[in-house]
Amino acid sequence: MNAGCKEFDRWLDAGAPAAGERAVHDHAAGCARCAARLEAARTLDALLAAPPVAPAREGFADAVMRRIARPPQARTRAASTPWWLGLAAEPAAALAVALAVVTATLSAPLWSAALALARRMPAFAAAPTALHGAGPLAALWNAQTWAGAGQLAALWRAQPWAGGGALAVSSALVAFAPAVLAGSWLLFRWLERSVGHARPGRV
Amino acid sequence: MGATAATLSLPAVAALEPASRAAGDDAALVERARAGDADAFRVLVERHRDRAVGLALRITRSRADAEDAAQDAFVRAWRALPAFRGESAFGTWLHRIVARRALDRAGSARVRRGREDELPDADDLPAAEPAIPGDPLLARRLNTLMGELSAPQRAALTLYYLEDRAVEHVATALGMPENTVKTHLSRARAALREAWVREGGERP
Repeated sequence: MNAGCKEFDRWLDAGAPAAGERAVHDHAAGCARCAARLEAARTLDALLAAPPVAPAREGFADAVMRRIARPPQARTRAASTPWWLGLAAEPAAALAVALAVVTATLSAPLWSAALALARRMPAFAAAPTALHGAGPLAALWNAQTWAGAGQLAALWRAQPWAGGGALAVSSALVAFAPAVLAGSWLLFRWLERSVGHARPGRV
Repeated sequence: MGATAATLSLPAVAALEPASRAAGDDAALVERARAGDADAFRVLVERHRDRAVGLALRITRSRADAEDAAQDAFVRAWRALPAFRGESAFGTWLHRIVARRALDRAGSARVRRGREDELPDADDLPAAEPAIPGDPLLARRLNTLMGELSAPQRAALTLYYLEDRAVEHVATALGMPENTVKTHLSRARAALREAWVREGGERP
């Protein structure tokens, strides 16, 4: 297959446009490979131009008429469905929630480290209980926070560069988590459209 | 494939239904159906069901999924009739709905089965109206080769011809960017052409 054959294939792949037709036909006239492909393309074009028809099974129209006589269940159900349930059904929402769960589950040290960093700020350090409240939940949160900070401090003492790097990365991750989630969402929606999955819910 | 008629047309193309007459008849029925006349809509269903099922079957390659998708499309068309402004023929509008429903159902079926295509019963595949008199075997061969394409490729390629080769209409109908449709079309053409040549040209 030479350059002319490749150009011929590209022309056929593009739908055999009028532009360049003369040149590729000249090529096909002297190339058995491309002549065979041109003939195949002609035959396929004619076959595809005929609308596909398949006899519907008996009772098809009756089934349709029965369905349109019923109240639109899907719409009733959709109207009564809480918005958050509909959102959860979206693949992109599922991905975002999964990402958020993973972040929340695996990043306790990250949250702790970020909080430890924040505690260095005078305003935060001055009123920790006002920010976190009181009670068992706050106590648990603080214990977790200090545990994470303790681990980080130990790492800092053993390996100052690694400790500083971990602190910077964890702080950045926590700070940018909402942006990461939003970016994941947008990326997923774009991919969903790009691969051609038609969205349900349209007419 | 996909060429201008002058370039690739064959001497005998399918004797299609006179589109203008059918569209005119449909228009009156659509008006009555819009006013709530279910009997008029039933006539539309009976008139368009075979093409709707054929289109859905070409995309889903499953008789059950195709019948469901076509029925669903008719039900949605009935409910959406008040918003139908007649900018296109009823048949064209219906084809778009059928294609979307079939594509959705093909996606669900793929997830359900865990793979793209189960080999369908050959008798279930849509029997394209003979493009060349006496060539049903070629039509069956095309149907078999369509199984090598993905559902979006089948949907884009089939709608491309139903939409008078207008990529922008296909993109709108399927909810895809135009470039995605062009990519599907290009890959589908190449795959079909190579398979056709590989398996012996026009020998059935």
